[in-house]
Amino acid sequence: MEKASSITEEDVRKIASLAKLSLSPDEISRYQSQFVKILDSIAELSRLNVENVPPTSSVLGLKNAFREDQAIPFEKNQALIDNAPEKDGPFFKVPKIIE
Amino acid sequence: MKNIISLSASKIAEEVSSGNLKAEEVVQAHLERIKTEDPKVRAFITVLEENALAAAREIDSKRSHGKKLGKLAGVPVAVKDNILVEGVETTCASKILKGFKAPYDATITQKLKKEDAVIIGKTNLDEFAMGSSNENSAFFKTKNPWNLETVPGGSSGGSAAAVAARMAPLSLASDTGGSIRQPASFCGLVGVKPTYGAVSRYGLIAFASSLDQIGPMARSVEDAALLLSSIAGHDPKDSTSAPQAQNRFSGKPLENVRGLKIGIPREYFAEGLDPEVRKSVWNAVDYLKTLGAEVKDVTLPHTSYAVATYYIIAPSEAASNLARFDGVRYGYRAQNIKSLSELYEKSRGEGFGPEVKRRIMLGTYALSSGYYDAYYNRAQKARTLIARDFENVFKEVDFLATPTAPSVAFKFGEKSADPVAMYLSDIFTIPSNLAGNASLSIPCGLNKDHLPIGLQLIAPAFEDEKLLALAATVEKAVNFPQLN
Repeated sequence: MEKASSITEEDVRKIASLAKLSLSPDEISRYQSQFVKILDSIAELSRLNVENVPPTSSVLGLKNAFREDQAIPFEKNQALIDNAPEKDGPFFKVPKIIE
Repeated sequence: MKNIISLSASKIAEEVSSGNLKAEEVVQAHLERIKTEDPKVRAFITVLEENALAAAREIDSKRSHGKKLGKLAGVPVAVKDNILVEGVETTCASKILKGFKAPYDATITQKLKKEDAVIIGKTNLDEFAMGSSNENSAFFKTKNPWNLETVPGGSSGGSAAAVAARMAPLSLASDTGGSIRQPASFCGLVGVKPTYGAVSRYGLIAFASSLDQIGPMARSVEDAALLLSSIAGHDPKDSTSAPQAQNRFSGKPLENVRGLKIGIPREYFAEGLDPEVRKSVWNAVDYLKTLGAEVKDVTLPHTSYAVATYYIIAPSEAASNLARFDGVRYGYRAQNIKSLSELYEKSRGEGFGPEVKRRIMLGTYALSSGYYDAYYNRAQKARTLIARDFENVFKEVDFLATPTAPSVAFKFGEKSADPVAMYLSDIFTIPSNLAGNASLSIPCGLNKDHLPIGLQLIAPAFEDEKLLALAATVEKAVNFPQLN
């Protein structure tokens, strides 16, 4: 685990870009100092010996939960469209992205 | 029968089923209580006055037509605002979902309706269930009915405050790292985090999918068991729900405590624990001892790694789950956008609050190329060790008894400036989510300032019924006061 205090504002900007979040310069500087603290507080994990320990992603140990591939009619399409910030008939409307 | 708002849910269901009480009277009484109490407490984001009265009248008419009513006949239930109720605004207390109307019911919402419960309103939470005090709600702060200057806990602070202030006898909440148990502890309630997979999460807006679990909050173990019986069980629509999930919980005390082994994990009683909390928890344990339980000092050696493990796994899963909020199909969309990327970035940047953004970034960082092994992969391995601690200890004892939180309810602003201090308030509840076992909080006393103290009881996975029975045994001895 890298030393957390090496997190710079530039790193925060890069993470925000990966996470698709626009942040103000104020937010970037605040998150930078908080990240240093948070990452320092979780750095203790690097001292834990995890050699030969398998990772846990499901505590139930469930593997694939298969079911029949059956189409179930959904009749509330309008309720879905009604939630859109912008719509056009039965479509979600987005700003033009291709010139 | 005059004081309807003080009745238990079980009693209400019984009286409505037998015709001694009308569901409409019950709902009306609670709506009136909301009108007088909620301006102070602010538990509800939405109060469903008309819907609730209409549903109540329908239940009354069903009965007058000779139909048998369900387990929750006429019982008002407050629902955390991250659970879908068809046609009703579901916000997660976030600006990004303001105005979002659920297009369908969560499985548990359907189950409530099937049992003739009445959904009375949607309760406040820390935005997207990320927080321990309700201070992260984008709308307003819910207050602790025991002392309005203190936090109700979180993230299910609204669900806790609604039941504590008798605005509803029952509420539904979700628990990812303690979000049911910690507010139950702060508000003097029974709050159950059932075994992972015991309750369907179809229609719960996801935070951290390998940790999230839905459960009941109530003023008694019997009521909590009644609600859990109504919502638990396998659901084909939730691929993580457990095929072996049960749906019958009596909430009756254990017949015999003699010979029962209760483990006291020493890591949970370490430095930093409020002395009054320690004393009150030990009183409850000592009572079980007088009934014949064997109390054993045990160790869960990886406990100190739980918070760090959680704050890698939960934000990583949140970063993925919250990627769906992109300003396209629902929720907030930023204006004056010039590119697709800008649409995403600005909608999310303006729509999410500070804690949600912090966690999305933390998760994005932990999952990003070059850091995955050091953070996420290592945390998943640590999780295995934490789960093994429980497996090992449950070979020696039947249950664990611990404090639910290191302190009683704290004051507004006390921890909100320091994310790390806030994260530590879930130090005793997080391990159960990581291990997936069954746990609950039950009030075990009041401190000198008249604030509730919670006892956490933990059982192996799928021992929810026994866990509730043990809690009911403790409840009888504690005789915890109701809030007026």
